Amino acid sequence: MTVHAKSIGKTALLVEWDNHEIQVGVSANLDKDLLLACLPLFEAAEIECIEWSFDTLFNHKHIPDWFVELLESFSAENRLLGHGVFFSLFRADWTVQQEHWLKHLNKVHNHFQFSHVTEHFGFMTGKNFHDGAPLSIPLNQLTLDIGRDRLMRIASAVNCPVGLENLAFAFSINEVEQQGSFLSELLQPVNGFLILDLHNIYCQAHNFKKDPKSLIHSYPLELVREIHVSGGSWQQAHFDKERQIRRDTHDDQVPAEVLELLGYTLPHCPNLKNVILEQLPTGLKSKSSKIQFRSDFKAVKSRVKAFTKTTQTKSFDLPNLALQTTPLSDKALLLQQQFITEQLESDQPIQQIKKALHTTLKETDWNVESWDDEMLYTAYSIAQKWK
Amino acid sequence: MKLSKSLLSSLAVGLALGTCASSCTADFMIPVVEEEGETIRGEHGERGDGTCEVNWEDCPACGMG
Repeated sequence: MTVHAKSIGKTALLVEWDNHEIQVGVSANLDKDLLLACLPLFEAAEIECIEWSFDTLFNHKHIPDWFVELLESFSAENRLLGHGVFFSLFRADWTVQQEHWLKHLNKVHNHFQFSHVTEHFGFMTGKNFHDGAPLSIPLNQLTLDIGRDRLMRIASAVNCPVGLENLAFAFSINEVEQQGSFLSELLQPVNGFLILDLHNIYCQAHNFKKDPKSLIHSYPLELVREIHVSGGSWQQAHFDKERQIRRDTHDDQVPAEVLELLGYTLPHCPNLKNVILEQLPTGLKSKSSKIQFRSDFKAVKSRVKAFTKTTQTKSFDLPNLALQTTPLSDKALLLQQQFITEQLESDQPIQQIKKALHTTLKETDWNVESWDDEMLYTAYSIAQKWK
Repeated sequence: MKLSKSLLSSLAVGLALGTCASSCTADFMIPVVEEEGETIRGEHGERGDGTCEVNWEDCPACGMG
């Protein structure tokens, strides 16, 4: 990527955020359909911040001047958010690609000065660093330590608040119920914050028959600095033909239930700063889908602006970091992650994959015995899609 | 947030023409077309000799695609 020599960092630091303002924005990446959908909103000055996935331009030698200028404009107002996709927070070894990812983040952040930087909860399937999908992990002391180690490395690469997004996918209801408290512990050493993705909550609530509002309260809402809103899709269940699985595919309009959940959640998040509408360009090819996207944005914004925030805002500034010289790793966990990836990306029938997983991971912290068969098939579908 | 007129213009032109604007060294010329009142990039472009059919997403000069 070529960056230009405009100096904006100092300016960005001087711009203060109004504690009572919640900024509403979009996920803005370098894609024609997505940016065309956003263009009328940019022209009308409706978009108050943008979130850029800074690690998705890995095979681009150059980015257009106008896109760099767009990022710089939001950065100069301290309204540019960095959102990573490929770091794989819970991968049990430390890779050259992760080292490169951190260096890239540091370089990009030095130029664009993100307001904050975030990544996803989970580990990525895929042999290639840039192909794969995030899956859940055992929630134990080892993964807590690895996650904290990786978060501190991200934090040390930037001089701004860092956070994590809750995961849409879960193999079992135990993972759904425990993710919130685990995230709270995970974020503590970096004074980190949570992106609460409401469509991810919607997926988990539907797939595991939980009340979404109750599920919201299982997360540390005082740590929510950002909310994501998006759409998704329904997948016919593989075993139970009466059942549908909700997938976080980001390729359709925002469901009414998610908008309602936004209105419900806002008063419970005293430290909220940004609300971001996400959609993948694959769902924005037609003129009508672009119009729907803008309608979704206005619906999200009207709900946020109807809510008056009155409480004080917590600081998520980085503390002094006690970073270990050598990144934490664990061979046994890595072999398990690789085995799961190989199985899910294989061409074997799902029953054979299930048998292999239940045999190899029997009575481990993966707790395969509690995995929902339909969610195993969903993981298989996700891994096949992104391998 | 209010963006400058020059940025909005560059953004609209870049998206509509399908070029990398000033950063593109390949001098692509892709026609703007109107479809149901909306401006979109052209179906194809030409590069002096009229043979090139790329836009900024898969421009060989930029390495995209």
